[in-house]
Amino acid sequence: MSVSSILNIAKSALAATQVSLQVTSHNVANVNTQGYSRQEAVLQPVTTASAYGIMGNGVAVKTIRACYDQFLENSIGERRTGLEEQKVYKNYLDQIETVFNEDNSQLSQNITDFFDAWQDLSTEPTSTATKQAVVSAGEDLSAVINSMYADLATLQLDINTQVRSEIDEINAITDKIAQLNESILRAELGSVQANDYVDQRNQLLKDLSGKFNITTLFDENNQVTVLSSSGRSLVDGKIAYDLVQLQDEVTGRTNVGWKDSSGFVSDITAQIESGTLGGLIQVRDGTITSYMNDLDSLAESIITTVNYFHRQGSDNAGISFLKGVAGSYAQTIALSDDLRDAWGNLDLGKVQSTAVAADTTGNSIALRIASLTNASLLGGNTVTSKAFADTTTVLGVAGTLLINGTGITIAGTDTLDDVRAKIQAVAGTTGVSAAVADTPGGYRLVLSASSAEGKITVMDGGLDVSADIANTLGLGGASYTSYTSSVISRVGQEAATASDLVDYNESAVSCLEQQRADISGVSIDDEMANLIKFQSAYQAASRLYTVANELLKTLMGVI
Amino acid sequence: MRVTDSYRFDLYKKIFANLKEKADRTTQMIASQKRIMAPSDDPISYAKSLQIDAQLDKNAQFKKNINSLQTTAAYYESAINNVSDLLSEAKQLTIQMASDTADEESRLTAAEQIDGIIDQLIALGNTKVTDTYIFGGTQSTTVPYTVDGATGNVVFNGSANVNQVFVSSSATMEGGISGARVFSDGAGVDIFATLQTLKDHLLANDVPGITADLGDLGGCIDLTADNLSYVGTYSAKMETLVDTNTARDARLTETLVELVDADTVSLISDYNSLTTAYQAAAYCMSKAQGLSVLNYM
Repeated sequence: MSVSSILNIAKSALAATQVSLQVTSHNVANVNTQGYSRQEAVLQPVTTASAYGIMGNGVAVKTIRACYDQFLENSIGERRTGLEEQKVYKNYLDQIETVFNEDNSQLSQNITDFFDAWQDLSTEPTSTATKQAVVSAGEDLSAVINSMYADLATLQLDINTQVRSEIDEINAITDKIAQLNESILRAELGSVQANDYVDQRNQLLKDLSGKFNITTLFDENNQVTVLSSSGRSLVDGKIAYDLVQLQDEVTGRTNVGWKDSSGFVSDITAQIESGTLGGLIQVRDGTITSYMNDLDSLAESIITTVNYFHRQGSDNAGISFLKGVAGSYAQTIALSDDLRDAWGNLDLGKVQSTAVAADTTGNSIALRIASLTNASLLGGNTVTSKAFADTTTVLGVAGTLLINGTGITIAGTDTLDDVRAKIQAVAGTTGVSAAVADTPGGYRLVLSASSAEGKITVMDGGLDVSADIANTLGLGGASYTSYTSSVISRVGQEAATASDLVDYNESAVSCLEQQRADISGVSIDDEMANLIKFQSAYQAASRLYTVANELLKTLMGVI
Repeated sequence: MRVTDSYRFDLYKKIFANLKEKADRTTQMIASQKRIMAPSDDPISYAKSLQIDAQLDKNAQFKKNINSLQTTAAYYESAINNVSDLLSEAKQLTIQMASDTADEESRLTAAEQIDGIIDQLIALGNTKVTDTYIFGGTQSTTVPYTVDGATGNVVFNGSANVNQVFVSSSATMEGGISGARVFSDGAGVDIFATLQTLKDHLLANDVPGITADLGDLGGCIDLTADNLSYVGTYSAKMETLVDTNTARDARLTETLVELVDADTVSLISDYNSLTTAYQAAAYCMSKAQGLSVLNYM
């Protein structure tokens, strides 16, 4: 023990206190930095061997420790995956809701107005004014459906652009994570804590988690490996594997590919299930497509059913009233070209009111089309009849069953099996197959659409408005207005659910962030207290210099 | 638990954003007087309100159809009343000509009068409203009654069928009355044929024939009375349909109001609560800012 030891101790104390003060200053400076974990200098006493045994010889900074919980960081990332996905749903479902909101679209009103126009025609079948009204109503309804379809298609295009941006952002993030991995490895191999790099990397990992579902694995060198849900590596040490934009030539949509080390690209779109990217893909390919299919089914049903009756008009030339391209009815529904003359001008005389030429003021066609407003005809993907005791008893019902625009004649001598066979015989035209199911209540006729998105329109195909063979068999579905309202209600329900889930996930993330703040957040009050603490320690250590100096002076004075 | 500055201010930001969003929404509801402004506000009620709106529209259309039928029924009633008056006149004349007090000359004069009655009945049968002949059935663009130049008989050129018109979602009514029903019954009673025969008997001074025609004329008058009764019943039914329609409108409107209209008093109270909460949060935030060591150093 010597006076110089006191100087050394004082020097170590000043150095250690300076580091502590710097760390405290760094914390204060980063009080609002997102993802920052407060740091603290971990001090440890320095000892030396002496004649008296192990003696203290000052203090040294062992390490600068960042206060964070990696498990909590990972949990926040996982929760953010769900939150960002729900935010995408909420955002786009709000926009889809705007498209379907009756105040904007007037879809239900236009459907009602269209069939009301046929009602007016049925009361004045030869009037030019009522024929013009029917045509105008047809144009308005077509325009509304076209417009809604176009709005949904535009949303899909917007989402497509966003998918491309997200892929670019994800690649930028994985590149940064790889760089930070390298920086952290170099630092920690040099036995230095790279706290700020770790904070940045954790923030990037949380951001990446928000993009889509990932798995993170940490090794003993504090290197993170990031994997997609299907186990494809996105970051492995200092190497980042890029996602690639894959263009679908048919649909024009951008899908997500993953490029491995050899440059081979595989499509991983189906494995991206959550996060912003997962949400965008689900909304684009699932949600919006489903609503487009609903509009398509509505348009197809209106076109095929109105045309079925209109083509029975007395003109006997099979004049259609509406037209549409199969597979894109909502996009292409419009007035039929059959209503135009050779020069392309609208010919009101081609609007059919009656089925019998001699009945010059007859209204059978107009009345039948007008009756569609009340018809329960638009079913789902499957339509099931009422129960019958067996399949071989004569049903005793006769008439025409209209299925997806094709009339099927049912004779009074037909059994349930005969009806099934007749419907099945035209399955290629209607896209609807028929089977008989043995259910607990009895035997039921089951009609099934051939495609997953297909809807079945089934109703009485005769011109007599009082006949209803479909109802007699227990077949049918919703009216056009109730179908429309159910679709709009579904949009509303999905939008409300997405909003609730955003609130729920935000609360969950908020709870986790609060826990994180408890461990890693910077409290100005804490740092001010530390500042005062370290300042006092610095002042005390400085005092040691004064004391040691006095002692030396005294020693010199003795000599 | 440590409450960090960053977390505290983020919390206040979320609180203010939340309160402002709710206050804005409440304001919109008060201004629009609607509880439901978008499907997501209450999907089931929104769907129901759309269906009720559609039913109200259809109701309005059916009312329009019924009014149209009522207008047409008035023309039929007037025409058939005139037919009845003309047949009564023909009957009076026939009674006089069947008696011994009439002579050949007076019967000739009566024949001309009957001819005049036939012409008036043809004119009634060819009553036209706007562009259609109301007694033509479903062939109302052609003249219903013409005289065959060769035989001199009155020929019906219309159809016995009439158009149906929807008066409610499940019911149709006949949209007119065919001349085939008014001027004949399809079972032997034929007004024009009866009067034609009467005219021939008068011209031939055939008293037994004239006497026999009285019976046929009675049948024609009974037919006309039935038709008048039918029109009366038809008009009464239209009145009932209008009343039913109006009552249905009232019920639907009441249901719609309950579904979508906002309770303004409740909303104003909610708005006051929200603004109070906002002010309280702002006060707390300003006080919390004082809770810092920095203020005492």
